[in-house]
Amino acid sequence: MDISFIDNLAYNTDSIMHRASALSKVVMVAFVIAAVVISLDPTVLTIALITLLIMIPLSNLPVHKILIFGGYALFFGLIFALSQTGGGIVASAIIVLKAETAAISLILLITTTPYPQIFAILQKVLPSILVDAMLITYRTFFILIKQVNNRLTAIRVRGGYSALGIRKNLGSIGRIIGHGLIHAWELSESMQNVMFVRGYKGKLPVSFSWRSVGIYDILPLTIGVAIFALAVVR
Amino acid sequence: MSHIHLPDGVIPTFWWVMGYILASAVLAFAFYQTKSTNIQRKVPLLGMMAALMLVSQSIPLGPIPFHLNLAVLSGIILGPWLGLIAVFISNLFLAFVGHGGITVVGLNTLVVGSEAILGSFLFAILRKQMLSVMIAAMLTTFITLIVSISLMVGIVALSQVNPAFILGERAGGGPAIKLSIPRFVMIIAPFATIGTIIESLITGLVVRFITVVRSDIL
Repeated sequence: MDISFIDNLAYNTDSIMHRASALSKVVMVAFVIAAVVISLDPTVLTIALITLLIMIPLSNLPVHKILIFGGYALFFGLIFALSQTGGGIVASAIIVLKAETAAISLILLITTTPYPQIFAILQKVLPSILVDAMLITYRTFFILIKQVNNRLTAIRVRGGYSALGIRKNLGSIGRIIGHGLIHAWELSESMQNVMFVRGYKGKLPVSFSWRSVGIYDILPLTIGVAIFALAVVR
Repeated sequence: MSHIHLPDGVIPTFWWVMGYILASAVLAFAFYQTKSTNIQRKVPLLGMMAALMLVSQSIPLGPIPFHLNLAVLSGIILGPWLGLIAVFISNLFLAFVGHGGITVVGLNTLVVGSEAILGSFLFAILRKQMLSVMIAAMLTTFITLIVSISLMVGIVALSQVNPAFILGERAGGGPAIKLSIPRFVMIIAPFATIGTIIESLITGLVVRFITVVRSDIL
């Protein structure tokens, strides 16, 4: 689960999708998810998935990496596909296509849109304290992952972690997470004090402007509406 | 990976909407419960725990294709209600990377959140009964994960009673998709068993480490 890699793609890549506003991409995802929910037609779902897959190289994103992220949904979808009865191979294909199409649309959103921009939209619908906690989660993730990776490297260098040594690995991981937890706890205490001193009243400011919608939003909106319309028509 | 995150499109609309309604109610209750602890002061802690849950999922476990979740640990550390909120945040982040569907964040929160709630209460009970904190944490995690996996299977089984047919969701035709619960259980059983054992062991080890280094956290 490489969130730092995803964040890097969202911030440091340039494409027509990256230039589109967060709002238009969220709307695109909403339409795609709605299509996934209402459609039981494998052709519609396949067209939707192919369209989204074409958008990956068009968005200057590394195809193989995105497909690896999409692999989680494929795996979970396969579990359900193998468990179904009565619908044959078509029903199994529908389950996998639904899971994968929805997942790729979300991955496309998150690899072309920085998390804080999505949080700014979420702040309109979720309690502000929840969104604040998400912003802190996002900020802290990078601090903790760096620390955990450093510890992991240090333990590897000292022979405490190897590909096949499961027992030894578990002990090392327990200590790494324990260290991480204590560090996170201490970090949260100092952050609490800083926020208190700065007069935090339960809402961190996140900038969001409806005016940021422009010409680049046409593409995601068209994709979303077209996929949804296809699902409704067929 | 003791958890099989439900993907989008496999649970009928009625049930995932119910999942969101129920999860919203439980989260509202969680916020109400944490009111007395001054939630504004706890926001950084909440964010840190959710971040740690996400970080732990990035740690490779050698050749095993599993990842940790730490929902029970979040319940043990933060308490049941803050732990539940941390689970929701973690689930929402994961849904954005295709790990569990966005439509089923509500249901996934109920399933994984049950680990934080049950884990917190069970650990408090077992800790008093046992000499070793590590064993108490391991046993808590093991029992809690079995309950949450059963809950997940229960949700999948319940959603077979498909109100979508009544609501006309299949009006446009398409194959009748029905899941075989025994087959579903057989497929997830090996993953769930290995995942449960690994998660229990590591939670126990983390709790032991914290007890030794900073016992005031527990």
